[in-house]
Amino acid sequence: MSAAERTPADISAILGIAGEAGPEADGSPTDDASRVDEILGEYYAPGATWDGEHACADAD
Amino acid sequence: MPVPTLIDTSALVAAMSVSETHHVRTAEALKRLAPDGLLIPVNILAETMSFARARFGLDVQRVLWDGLAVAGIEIVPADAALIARARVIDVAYADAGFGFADCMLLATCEVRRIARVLTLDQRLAAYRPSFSAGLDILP
Repeated sequence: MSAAERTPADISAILGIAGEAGPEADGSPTDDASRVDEILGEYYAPGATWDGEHACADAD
Repeated sequence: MPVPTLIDTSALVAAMSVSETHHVRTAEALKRLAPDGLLIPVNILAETMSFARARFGLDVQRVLWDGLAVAGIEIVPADAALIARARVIDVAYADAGFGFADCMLLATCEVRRIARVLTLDQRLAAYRPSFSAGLDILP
């Protein structure tokens, strides 16, 4: 079956599943969509969140 | 004839988070385009899932995971030929600095002959498909 022939079951299942309107201190919206590389870079940086979650920070 | 749409990470991130500046228009675009078919390259899916984990945590990643199972989006697999084609695009557009993820998306455009892309990354408009005058960048 081609993509064009498929009938999407429920696209709303992935819409609006995260975040809160106006999460910043000044109530303004975020623009994470244009910062994906930056956010992933921060998360996976040596000694950062990923290391902490996986107990790598103090590994020999 | 229905024209399917390829989804980029930026659009999916904006659509999934109500905090995002472009949430409403990307979510509405997905609803509007869904009947004609939505596709996402597997590496773009992986990038989006990693982002969900990094930005919102494992619980949100799991909600997205479950949602994708019922959203009706076709996941386009990657193979050696697609990766090689992406590298050709990277060489041809070296000055654009697309990088691996974008080049895989563009290679998928070529293989599937799909010129419609839902993305917030306007740099992709620089790409000229072999089968079309240009990409139709939405929303």
